[in-house]
Amino acid sequence: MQDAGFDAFFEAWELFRDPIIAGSLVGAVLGLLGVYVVLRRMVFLSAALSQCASFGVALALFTEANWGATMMLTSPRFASLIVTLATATLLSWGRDATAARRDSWLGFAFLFGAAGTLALATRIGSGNQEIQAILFGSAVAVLPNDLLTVAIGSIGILGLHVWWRRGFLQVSVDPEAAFVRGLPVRLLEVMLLLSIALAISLFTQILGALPVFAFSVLPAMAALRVSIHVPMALAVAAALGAASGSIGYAFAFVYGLPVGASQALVALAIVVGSEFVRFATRRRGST
Amino acid sequence: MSSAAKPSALLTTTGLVVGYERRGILPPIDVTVRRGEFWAIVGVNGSGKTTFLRTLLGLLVPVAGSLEWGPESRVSYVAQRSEFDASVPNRIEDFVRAGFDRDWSFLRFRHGDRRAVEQAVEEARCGHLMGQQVSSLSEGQKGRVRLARALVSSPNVLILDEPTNAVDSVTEHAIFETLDELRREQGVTLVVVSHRTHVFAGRATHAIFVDRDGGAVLTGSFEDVVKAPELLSRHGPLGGHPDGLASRRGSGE
Repeated sequence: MQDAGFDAFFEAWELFRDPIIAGSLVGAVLGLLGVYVVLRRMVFLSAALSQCASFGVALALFTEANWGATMMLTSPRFASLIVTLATATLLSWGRDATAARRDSWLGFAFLFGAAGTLALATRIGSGNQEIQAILFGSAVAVLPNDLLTVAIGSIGILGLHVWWRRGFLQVSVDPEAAFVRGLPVRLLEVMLLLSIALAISLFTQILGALPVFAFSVLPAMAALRVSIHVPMALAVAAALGAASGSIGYAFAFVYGLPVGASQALVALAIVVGSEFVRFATRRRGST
Repeated sequence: MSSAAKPSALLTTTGLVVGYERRGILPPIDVTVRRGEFWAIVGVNGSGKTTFLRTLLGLLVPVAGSLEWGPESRVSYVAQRSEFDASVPNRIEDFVRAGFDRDWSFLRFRHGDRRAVEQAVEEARCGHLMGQQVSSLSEGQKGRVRLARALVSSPNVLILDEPTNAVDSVTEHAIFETLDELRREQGVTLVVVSHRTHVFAGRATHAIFVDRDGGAVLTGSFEDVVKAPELLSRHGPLGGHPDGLASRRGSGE
């Protein structure tokens, strides 16, 4: 396949503007949320939730294909939201369990979402292609309605995280100390988890499970390596997430790659770059 | 002194039984902790000291009895091992500032944080470490930074769990000197767990001796508790050895 080149990309900017804005917004929000995901050592949570979000979409398509569009459940967005939030709520009940048991339930949720999605895909007929798009990401075109959803979701989630940032940070870094100082630890943890679940649910339908998982882990990994404090890491992760979303989309067009894979690869490259920056900084500091 | 002249109680426990999964590990404990007192919680490794402390803090549910914090109490806690994850970027000032938020205060914009942080690191004698990453500190320096974080919210009750567990004797002495100063000069109430009992000599005003194996709890003035026949018959005199009670039972929990 011949590469399209960046000139062709910029010539068709009008066509790609909305997907790039959507990718940037999603990358920024998930990049910021990813800092909490990494700090709380729940990387597998976002993988599990994105699979459950996919399952919600598959369930809606399956319901529509078999029983017609007569129920709320046939709305992919609604079904995905319900399944993801329900999974997050169930997982939050197990916060006092041992780490091994928590990990086991995350594995259960991941496999339930992944296996369920693939199983339903075989019963949807033409919807199978849509399922593949959701799993691996193909945000080639973003509908105006989707862009609006991304914008409203991003503003709402970012607003909550700016407002409650200090509380979210405290329960992520040292929950026992926060509890002793009287912070509403349980509420903060549930709200943090639900905001992550909401973001994953909304964005999985638009970008796909693969880039959503990548954005919720990789920019935060890189940001935590190059930042001197956590608030800085939040800002850096949001910026790197936005860069992964937009540059990944451009690379997908120019080099003929699947969008989700391209965005994940850019995020991976950023992590590798951050390791070099870290290494160079430490080396300079030691000489 | 008459009871009417005593400072108001900051903490009262009545028949408090501590333990896990609804099973008590110690007999009921009755204590009243007042402003400016220094309570030493002593006992061998695995005797229930930390379980008692975590119950006071609300991190464990009491098996029976009650505990009540007074309305004036502002509690800060220094854990035995705080989370110092080297992968988390955390400058001293950011780590200390995190101790500032109380209750729903995290929703309000704050003024004067910097001054409070500076004062806390000064009191904990770690001001010279500002700007450094927490992960790069020695154990003794980490202990001081933890103390600064506990002090930043101006507590009147400071609860510390083995604050000098991994430090040398010089640093240990300096940390306890700092704590004693806080008590004498600011009236901060101290509740400190340590198995190295010599650190309490000449400092602690009260003591709680816990012995899970022997099913015993002794409470009262420090002098009375360390001289109690029950304790002496089981463990001999306290405070003579740098490792205190731990030396009599070997090491490790």
